[in-house]
Amino acid sequence: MLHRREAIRGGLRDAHKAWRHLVDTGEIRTELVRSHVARAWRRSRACGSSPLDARIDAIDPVELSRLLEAEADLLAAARPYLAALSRSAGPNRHAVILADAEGRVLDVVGDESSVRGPDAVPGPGALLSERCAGANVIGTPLVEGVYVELDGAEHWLAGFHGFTCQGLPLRGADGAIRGVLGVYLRERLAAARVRDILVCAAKGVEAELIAAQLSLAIENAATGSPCPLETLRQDLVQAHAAARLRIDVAAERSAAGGATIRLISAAERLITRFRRQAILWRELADEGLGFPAPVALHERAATMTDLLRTEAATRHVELMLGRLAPLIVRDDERELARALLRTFLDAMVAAGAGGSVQVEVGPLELSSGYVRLTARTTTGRESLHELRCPGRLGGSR
Amino acid sequence: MSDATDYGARARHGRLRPGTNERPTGATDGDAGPAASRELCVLVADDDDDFRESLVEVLELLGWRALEARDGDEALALLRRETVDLALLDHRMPRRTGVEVVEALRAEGAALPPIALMSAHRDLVELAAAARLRHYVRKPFGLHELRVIVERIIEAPAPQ
Repeated sequence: MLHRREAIRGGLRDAHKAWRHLVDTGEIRTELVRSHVARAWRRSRACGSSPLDARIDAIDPVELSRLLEAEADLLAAARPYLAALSRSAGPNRHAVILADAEGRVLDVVGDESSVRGPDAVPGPGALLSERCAGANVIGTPLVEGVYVELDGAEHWLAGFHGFTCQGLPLRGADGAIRGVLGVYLRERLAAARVRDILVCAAKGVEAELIAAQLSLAIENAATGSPCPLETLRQDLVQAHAAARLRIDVAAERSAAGGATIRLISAAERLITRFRRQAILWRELADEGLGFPAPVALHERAATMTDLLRTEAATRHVELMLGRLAPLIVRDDERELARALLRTFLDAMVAAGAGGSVQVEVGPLELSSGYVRLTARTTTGRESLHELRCPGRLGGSR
Repeated sequence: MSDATDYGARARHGRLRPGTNERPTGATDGDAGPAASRELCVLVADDDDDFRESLVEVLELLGWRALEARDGDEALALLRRETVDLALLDHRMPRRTGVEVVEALRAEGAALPPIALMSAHRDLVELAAAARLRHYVRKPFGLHELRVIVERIIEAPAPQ
């Protein structure tokens, strides 16, 4: 702890020296600041904004009202996680900010003083893009596209120097940046504790956006679809729902100074599972043809098995993973997903209540691969259900 | 009895302390602060291990005792055997759905504790209404939503 405190003090002294030098001369002493800070300062300087500016511009109330309406889905997705992050900060003075992809603040939660006091962080409507406010944890992650931490004088504007801040871009279901989640803390040592929850919460918001899109997709899904899309959607939301509860528990534990690593890693594992299943589900829900692309057949088979776990359980069929040889094939992902689902459903019907289905993936001659499902009834009768995929690109026997 | 709603049955069931058959006194009822909350026993029925374990962890964090069921049959057996203050039943479970568990208990004429149906079903409100269940929780939900919902159900006055 002593080493960390000293390292923080040393880093802060260097950053402050560099910032003073920047103000006095306009030069950036790259040897004194972290590389992402130097990059952000260069961009901020190029925009012509002054580090001594005391004011942060904001959009007018009418425009803000329109913006909040347009970003209602992002706000709804983020709200539970803003609250969890705020709780995770415990008694420390803090604010959690949600901004859109342009760096316009949409929502702020935190302690009374940080949200509404004389030293409050910028509220809804404030413009925090780098162009408007220099290096900060809303604008800078939007440019860098990754997690950014700025401590004290690493911020461009002096008004932020009392904070240790962290920000992370939020990506929508299509992978494009939808906004930013930022945490502002007065207590530097609390920042380390909140960081892991922030990263996990950002994934939670992204999962929430995906879940909302799945609900929308079900409205548009073909009625003649061979698969129980709505029930599968309900099943895959389970992983996301479990992750959200874990994040909430982690936030409570963090506030009480307790350990959170187990909870956060469990939440991240669940979100990864949810995302994988959501990709497969979207391919099933999409009626049209896709494009031939490399597909990891073994991963698809494993994800389909996972996605159908509850469906199989309600049919009293045991789904078992056998040997899944790593295999890449070139195929239309959507067609492959639908064919895979049909094969699984056929095998489960053949196995019947009390039966089992074993899943295997392997290579075939003539540059193709297979997903083979062996259905076994309670009387021991076996039937094979095979999906052959041409266009094998790689993989091992 | 078979036509009892979960809510009406709750009036008969009362808010019982786990491990006792005593109905709490009126004073305790009206004084249901944190100390009373700690004694609540909640049944969690869900086939998804991750979700069920997460929910149990939340309930324990909130100071409540949790019983677990992995499918509809287990939920039914526990509801027959144990005294619970609230049952959180997933709808889509192996062996019996949440609604089928409720119907089975009604058919037996059993007194039902307060029951909340959990689901990500898009028509959850209609589903709960059709099963004559007043309470439902849409998945996903968070710790604080759960606390509010549970406390509202537990503290709601029983209908006359």
